[in-house]
Amino acid sequence: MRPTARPATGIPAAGDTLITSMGADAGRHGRAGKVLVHEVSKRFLADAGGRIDRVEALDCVSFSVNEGEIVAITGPSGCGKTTLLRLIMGLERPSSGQIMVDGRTVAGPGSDRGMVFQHAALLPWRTALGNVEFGLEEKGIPASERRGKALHYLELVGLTRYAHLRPHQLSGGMQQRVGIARALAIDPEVLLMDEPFGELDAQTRETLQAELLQIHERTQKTILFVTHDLDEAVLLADRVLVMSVHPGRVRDEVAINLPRPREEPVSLRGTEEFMRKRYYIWKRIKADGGR
Amino acid sequence: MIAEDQPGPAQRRGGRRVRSGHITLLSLVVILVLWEIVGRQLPAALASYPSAIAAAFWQLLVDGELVPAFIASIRPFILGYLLSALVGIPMGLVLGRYQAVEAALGLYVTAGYAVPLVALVPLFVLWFGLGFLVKVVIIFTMAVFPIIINTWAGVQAVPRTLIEVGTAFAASHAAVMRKIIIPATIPYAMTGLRLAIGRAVVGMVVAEFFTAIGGLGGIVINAGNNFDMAVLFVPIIVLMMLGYGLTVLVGSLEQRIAPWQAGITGRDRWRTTRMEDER
Repeated sequence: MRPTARPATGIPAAGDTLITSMGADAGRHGRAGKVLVHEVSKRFLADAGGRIDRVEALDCVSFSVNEGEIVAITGPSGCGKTTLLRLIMGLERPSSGQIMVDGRTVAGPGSDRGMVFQHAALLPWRTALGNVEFGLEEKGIPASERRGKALHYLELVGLTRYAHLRPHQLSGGMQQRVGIARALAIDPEVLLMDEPFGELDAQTRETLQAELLQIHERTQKTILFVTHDLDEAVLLADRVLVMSVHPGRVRDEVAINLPRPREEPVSLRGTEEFMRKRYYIWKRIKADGGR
Repeated sequence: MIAEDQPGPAQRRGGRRVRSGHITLLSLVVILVLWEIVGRQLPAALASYPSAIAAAFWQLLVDGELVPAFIASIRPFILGYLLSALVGIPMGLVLGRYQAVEAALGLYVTAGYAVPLVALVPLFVLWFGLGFLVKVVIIFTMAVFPIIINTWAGVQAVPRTLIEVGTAFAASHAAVMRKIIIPATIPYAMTGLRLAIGRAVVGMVVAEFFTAIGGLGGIVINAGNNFDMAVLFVPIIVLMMLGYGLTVLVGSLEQRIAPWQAGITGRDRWRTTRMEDER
């Protein structure tokens, strides 16, 4: 076990110095830390039956994601994994600590990060193509280039033929493909995915996992995704962050040394490394009080 | 993929829709025939029946009474209704979007919707006289509240994740309003517009009763005073058809502006099935 979340009392210096040293570290390896999460805490005030409770969603979480890496965040429900992703996206602000993406402190949403939402969250009144174009419009891409770019990314997820259909005419898997194309189209430094395949049936999920691996091979995007599916975590990720609950902390960081490209995810599932890593992560989560 | 999962009920629904037109027609015929039979048994000073009403309708038309009355009624109606849409929809959007505005004005809108506005007519007469203006004001006041309330509720019903999609893609406040909140609110605003038609028709007749007697409402008052029931029913039926026609019109307008909505709610299920099969 390599605990990456340090107890708050063990920190001697101010946060700024540590950030600088982390950044320098990453630079020395030639692969800049694309995402740096440094001692991030998030507290909510929750209404617990008339009594206001202070919920420690995240407590001093630190980790980094290298360029081109795929990192999975998993853990029992309520461990704050989705909150963590939302903080990196800039949809919420940390109570304390700092998040940097590509060397810049996150102060809000930006087109350097592309988000894939849990239930695709497509705009129902737009076609598949229109949904992909949405992010491009907000990024300020001129109208003349938008359509071509959007079509390119729809092609990447294999939906060229369905570009003109609206979300309610698409299957769940197709909807999430559009969600992925929408996030990729703005050409973000980092792709953030919040349980992207959680709602899909097993077969569709496997197809999309394989497609995501192919997309990663082609684009070499840095990907950070939240999942409760351990198979998915081990299959896709280079590293798996295992979180614990109450308070939310990164309790373990597991490197997955399966070779890339992982062209045939199905056969990978039978390998010893896969089984061993999956079992190990499962045990870590169980030890924390189950899911 | 709703349609693929449940092809059975989707097809039954389509079949049922074809027959429902016949059922409506049959019900209309039965009601008219029953009315004719029962109406003929009752004294003419107290009730009437379809054939007598049709004759009265023709007579009013030939006498050149009906068309001018209709135009006199419809002019303030159209102006008042359009104004209520023009004011009500933006007002509802602002109320739903900005908490400060909601805190400041929400109370009055809710109260204004609940209060019997007919009670305000004497006041309106004092302020705006007995002419065209007061009619527009009464119709506007009747119609604007359901539009505001429904649009307001529509903004509040916009799924939070959709607004977050806007935020995540760094959309400006104006872009979130234009590209997410307004399209998502259209079905609700349309419901408000539909409900407002009925209220505007009521407002129009009330205005004609309580201000300068004229228009279709004027025909009702005069016929009532003469115990001429057949004539009294003519403007009532014209108003009914007007309200019904406009409601259908707004409904089909919604289909044009928000065609995705029928697909989402399943009203469009059989058509969706076909599109799935074609691909």
